[in-house]
Parts: sequence; C-alpha cells; structure tokens
Amino acid sequence: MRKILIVNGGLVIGGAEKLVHELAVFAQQNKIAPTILILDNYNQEYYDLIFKQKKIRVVRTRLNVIKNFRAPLKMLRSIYWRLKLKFLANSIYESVHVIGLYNIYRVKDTVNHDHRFYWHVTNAAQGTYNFPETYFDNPDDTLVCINQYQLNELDTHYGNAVFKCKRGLFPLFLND
Amino acid sequence: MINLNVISRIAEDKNYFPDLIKILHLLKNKGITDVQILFIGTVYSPKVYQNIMDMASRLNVSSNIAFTEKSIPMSELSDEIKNGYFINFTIGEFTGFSGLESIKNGFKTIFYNIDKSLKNECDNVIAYCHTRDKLMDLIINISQNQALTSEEITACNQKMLNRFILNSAMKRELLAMMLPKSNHSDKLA
Repeated sequence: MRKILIVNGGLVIGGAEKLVHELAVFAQQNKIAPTILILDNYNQEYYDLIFKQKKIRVVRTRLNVIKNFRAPLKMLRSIYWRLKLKFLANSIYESVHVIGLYNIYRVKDTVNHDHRFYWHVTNAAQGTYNFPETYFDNPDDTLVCINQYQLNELDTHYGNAVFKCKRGLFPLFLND
Repeated sequence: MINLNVISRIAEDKNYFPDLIKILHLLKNKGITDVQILFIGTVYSPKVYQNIMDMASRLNVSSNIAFTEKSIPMSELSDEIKNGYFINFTIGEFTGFSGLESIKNGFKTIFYNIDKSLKNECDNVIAYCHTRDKLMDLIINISQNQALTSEEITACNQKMLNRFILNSAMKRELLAMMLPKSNHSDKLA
C-alpha cells in the first residue's frame, strides 16, 4: 500500500489538527496509508484515540534534538526516525504534508523528500509573517494555501520573487 | 435569554474577544441584558484571559460571560449549549474548521469577520457579520424575534454546507497532491 507522511506538532482540538485528521481520513478512504508524525511532543492528546480507533499510525518523536539520555528508548526511536526520514523518506512515502508554516523548521533539513507540501493554515490577522524566506526556496516543495487571502498576504509580505517553491490553493474540507 | 458560544482557544493569535465584550456593553446600554457569552476553549494565554475579565469588569458585563477554560469536542457539549448561537471568527469570507464543524453539527452559526481590511462579499448574508455593528444588529434581531432570526440563520448555514464537501474534481486534485508520481484519475474512493 502506498504511504504518505503528515507532520504536525500536536493533536489537540484545533483547526490544524482537524486538517491532519481530514487529510489522514481522505488518504485512508483512498487506500493510502497515512503516518502521522508528531514532533517534539510526547503527550497523549485528543486525536490520538480517534486515530487509534481508525487504525491510523501516529508516531511521536524528535528529529532535531535527539539527545535524551534519561529516556534511551525515545532517543533510539529519534535516531531511527532521523535516519529513516533523512535517507529513505523518498522511497517510503509518496508525499510529505507539513501542517502550518510554523512547523517547517522541524522538517526542512531533516525530512528529505521530492514532494513536500507545506499547508499554510494561518492568516496575517493572527500575527505577522516572520517565516524566513529560505522556507520557500526549494522548487520541489509546494506551499498550499487554504484561502485566497493568504496568497495575497504572502505576495505583499515577501514579494513574488521570493517564492521558488510551487504555490497552490486548496480549500478546507470535511470528508463525507 | 440569548446564549452565544465562542469556540476558540484563549490565545494571542485568536484575541478578537474584546469586540464581543464591547458588544455586550453596548447591548446593555440599549436595555438588552439577557445575552450570555460562553467562551469554550483552553486558556493558552493568561494575559488574554485576564484582559477579557478586566474589560468585562470595567464595562460592567462580568455576569454576562463565562469560560469553560478547556477545549470541549462539539459532540460533547450540553444540549443547552448546542441550542445557543455559535459565533465563529472568520477572515473575510474564509471560515476555519471550527465554523465548518459547527455548521455540520447543525449549530446556529454566526460568522464574524475579524480582518476589517478585507472586502466583504457576503454583506447581505444574514449569518455573515462583517462589522461589530452588524453583529450587534443581528443580536438585537435575535432578541426581538428569536424564532424567525434563528430560522434564517439555520437556512443560511445549510446553504453553506455543500461548499465544504469535496467534489470529484477536488478529490482528484487532493489525490494528485498525495500521490504526485501516480496516475490517480481512476482511483478515487
């Protein structure tokens, strides 16, 4: 079965987490196995149980700060995932979906893949754009906006020339 | 009694709450005192939370607000809450997941735009309030004719519902994002 990776920082009740859920369920409905990777957060949260019931795999680990001598099993797991995503992500996963531009720093240099999709889930009214321009410098990556306003905001803030990555628009949705 | 519910974490990036406190105050000045706002969401910012409390106290509407102080799944809300009106913050006409779920759950959902710089294309749609004045007017309408206004809001919400279900073209597009290397046109569920 084909696989995709969905990356976020948590699974609490919230809009970004709901997007994780809808993407994962859509994938599953279309015979794609989603793996949800939650980085730097080992808490059990709202959607963990829901994904367990749906038999969707959730992995909680770290990729950037691996040293964790107080928890050697967690550290080994981090090393395993770090190596796997650095060197094998392309061959294991069809695509990688990162929820929120605020999570790009967690994966930009640690998850190597030719088809990374960065889902933009906030608007300027929620805070200023303080994401580095380097987030958008890879022509293989795709920035997915969920409303037209975001496209305008990005252009206004960064200017069109900054975007070497592809840009697209896809609306929020609820599965049937 | 008019019960308004706001599903949102209490956080800096969602801090559009002062408008609602101000509305309570203005309504009170007009003699409408039976409006209650319940904020449903985890307090991520004690500062924002305290600011709401202080403002409510200053404007003498403390008794009109309450907090759950934790997130609650919509399905687990009490019937009393479910029967109220749900105010959902939007960016122009863009509705986030809490709004979508609110409609899908059949809640009477009112959309309140928090980015006033954006053009409003839904000006004549009852459930969309582009300005604070419009939201206040809608609450006054509810106060004066709750049954009719509720019916109109519900009808408006129902019309929106289809927008959030993917059609086959969009399903193909999403599938193309998930499987960029595959020919997926005939593989939709």
